[in-house]
Amino acid sequence: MSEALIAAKQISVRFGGLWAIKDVELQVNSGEILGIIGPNGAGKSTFLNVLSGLQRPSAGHLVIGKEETADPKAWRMAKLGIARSFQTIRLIDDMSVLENVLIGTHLYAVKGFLQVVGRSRSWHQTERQLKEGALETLAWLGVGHKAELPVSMLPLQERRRVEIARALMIRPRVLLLDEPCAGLSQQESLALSNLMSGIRTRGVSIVLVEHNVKLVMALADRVVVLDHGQKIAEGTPTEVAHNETVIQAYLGGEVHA
Amino acid sequence: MAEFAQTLVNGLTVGTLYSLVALGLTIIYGVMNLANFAQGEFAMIGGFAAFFLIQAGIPYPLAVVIAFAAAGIIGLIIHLLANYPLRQSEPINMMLSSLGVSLFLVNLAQYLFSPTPQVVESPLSGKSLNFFGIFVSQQRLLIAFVSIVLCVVTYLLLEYTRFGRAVRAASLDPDTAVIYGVPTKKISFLTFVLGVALTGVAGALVAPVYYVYPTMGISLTLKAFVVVVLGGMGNVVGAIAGGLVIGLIESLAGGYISTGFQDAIVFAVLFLVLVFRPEGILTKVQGEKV
Amino acid sequence: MNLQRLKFWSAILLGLGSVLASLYVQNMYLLNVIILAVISAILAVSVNLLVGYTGQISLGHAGFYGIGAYTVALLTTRWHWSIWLSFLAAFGLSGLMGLVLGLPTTRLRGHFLGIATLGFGVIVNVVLNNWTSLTNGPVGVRGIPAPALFGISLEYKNFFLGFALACLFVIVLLVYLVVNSAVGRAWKCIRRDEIAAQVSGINVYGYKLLAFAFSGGIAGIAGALYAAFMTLVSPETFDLNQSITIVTTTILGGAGTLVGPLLGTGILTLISEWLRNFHELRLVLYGLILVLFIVVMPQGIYPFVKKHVQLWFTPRKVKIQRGSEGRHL
Repeated sequence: MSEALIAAKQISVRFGGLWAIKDVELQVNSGEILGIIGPNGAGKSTFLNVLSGLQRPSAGHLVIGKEETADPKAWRMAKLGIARSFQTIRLIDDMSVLENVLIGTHLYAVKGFLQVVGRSRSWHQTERQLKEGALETLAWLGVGHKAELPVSMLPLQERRRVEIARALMIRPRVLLLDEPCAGLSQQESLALSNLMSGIRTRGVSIVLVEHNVKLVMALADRVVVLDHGQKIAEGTPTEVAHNETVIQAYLGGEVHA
Repeated sequence: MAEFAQTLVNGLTVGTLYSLVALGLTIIYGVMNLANFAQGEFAMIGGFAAFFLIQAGIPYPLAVVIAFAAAGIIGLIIHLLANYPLRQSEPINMMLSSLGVSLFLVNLAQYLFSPTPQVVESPLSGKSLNFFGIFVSQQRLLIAFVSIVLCVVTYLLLEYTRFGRAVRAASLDPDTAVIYGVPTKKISFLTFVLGVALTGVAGALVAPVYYVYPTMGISLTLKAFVVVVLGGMGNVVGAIAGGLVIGLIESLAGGYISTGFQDAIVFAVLFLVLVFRPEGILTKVQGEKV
Repeated sequence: MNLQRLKFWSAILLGLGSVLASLYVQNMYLLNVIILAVISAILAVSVNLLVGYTGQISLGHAGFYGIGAYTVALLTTRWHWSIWLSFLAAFGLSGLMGLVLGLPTTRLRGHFLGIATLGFGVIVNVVLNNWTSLTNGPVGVRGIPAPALFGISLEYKNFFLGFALACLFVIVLLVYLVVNSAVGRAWKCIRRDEIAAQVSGINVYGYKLLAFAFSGGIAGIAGALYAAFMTLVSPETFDLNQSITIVTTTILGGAGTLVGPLLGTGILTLISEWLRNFHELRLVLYGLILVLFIVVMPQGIYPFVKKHVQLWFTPRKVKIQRGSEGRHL
């Protein structure tokens, strides 16, 4: 049994009278790819929002390493090593690719007033290192040659990669990906899933929320199935694929891997 | 006790006026996402319209109606020149443009009509009623009456007519509204014209009580903003109720604390509201969408 | 990279040059106008930190300006502090007020923030007008001593102009250095997408507070300069109109750029002086021109000019490609 990086304890989220998520218990282990699947409106994205601190849970709490919190703040979660991407990409369109990625280096940049204003040697050194790191990551993700272009000029799949690059710059232990393949062609999806394996080999766990069930089944070590805000199954892809409740939820055998 | 009741009554009558101005401001905000800093200037336009019409011998009720039309027509011109070209740009630009419009209108009025306050005579001037020792001038009663009627009519218009449904659709979700065939461009200009025309009436109504002068609109704009925030931006019922609340607070603060600090107290209340209930005190809470 | 360095040093030279040139301005009227323009430029730079870089509207900047001016006025005339100490206090107190205003209001957005900050400005103005025992009410405070630098009295207006220009350039330099660092990146990201900022580990609340405090402090320095220059302060200088002028200057010039606020101040000062020829119509035309500028170039004068100059020097082929790129400043 490997070490748990995040443990979600009895997480519930309520919008008005509606439970988007009810008593979900979940654990992210180090070095794994955890797939979260479920029909539309199952609460997958809401759950990612809880894990990344963007949605305060109505009940329950998170345990991240040694820290325990019932009201996670997004920037604190980033500090604790949880990074994420968004289904609708959140990049800053009129900044260059590199500038966007550099935003992710915030935690490691020199920010002391005197250092910044005096342009101290350590400021120069750190800025250079961060920039090199950002360029390296971009190159590794296959968008290195576009570093100076404005983000708005890149096609969707490259913007996805830029967003992942920004997320990787916070040096995360867990990377949350919200529908990374939405809108991509089959080929592009495949390339991206290879990339995810690559990220995992670099020691970053991935939580993958994805519509493309086949892709998740092929990639994930473990799969959690949400339906109507509740966890209805959990296990290896094969276990989940043969689970009666899951097949019911998906209305027939679409899941057969 | 009588003094307290008097303060309350004064506050409420002024409050209805704030409601009327805030009503215009709030529907404009709702549909156009415009914080219209020139709102009060239309009260000034209405006031001056009433002043000149009465001098020309036109009876006061008719003057009020023409003030409505005059503010509406000037509003239309301003919409076409200063708002419409900016419909695609960031909301802050339209707001700045409205500040420019305000500057323009105030100073044009000063140039044309001189800064001196003008007295407007209405048939009710100087008459007041006595209810159990509380004096209410008849003009104030008229202000309250007409304001309430106009608020109710506007509310009904928005709630029960085709136009109203279109306005509400455009204000809730302009993009979807367009898809469903709501002519949002037309709606936004009708809303602007209606919103400022209502304020024009407000100006014609206060004229006999407070005089008419070029800068009279500025403090009215500020009060209306406080009311709109209090009631929730874009919320019609909120604006009407908020107007009464601000009228009361202002009158009580003026009567029992200090007239000098009156405005500061109104804004301090605004501050507290913004801090503790930024969505307004009269709206239901909604979850934030990520 | 080298081009950037060239720009940087030529800007520094330009700054030094203009400080020296200030000694040769002969016309008294012109001196007055330029000194007040320099003070306005500092205000525009200050509000640009909020409006331009962090995306937080402030319609109450006259409040900080007034607090800075009154701090100097009261400390020097009532408690006989040295003028430089009072300048420091003006910076500190206005910065602190920025922080205090920011604490409750940074959670607000857009128009709500605009109206809350507007309220702050109104409250400061009302207090200056009505707290007579401290501020002397509408009459204001007189007899503020002129500062002296290295034994040179700045009562002589050319010296004061030189000093004010030096202040402006130091402030612009500071802003440049801060904005081109991780702090500036965080601000710019907050302006465009707060959620993206949060998940990148940026403490959005903290950075907004920092912007408020920094901006308030700089406006306080502008106030201090104003008090020292005029030797008298009264509440009417620090009213809503002033707040609005500061914001419009910045946005007209080009918010979020270093040059924009300076250019905006320059152009609006020129226009406003030129309009004196029209006497009573001055403010009418001023309002008209304001609307015209916003309608014609909503992104600001500097980005507008920059874009068009670039287009002139771009070959046609690239132009067509760039057309697809949308609004890119």
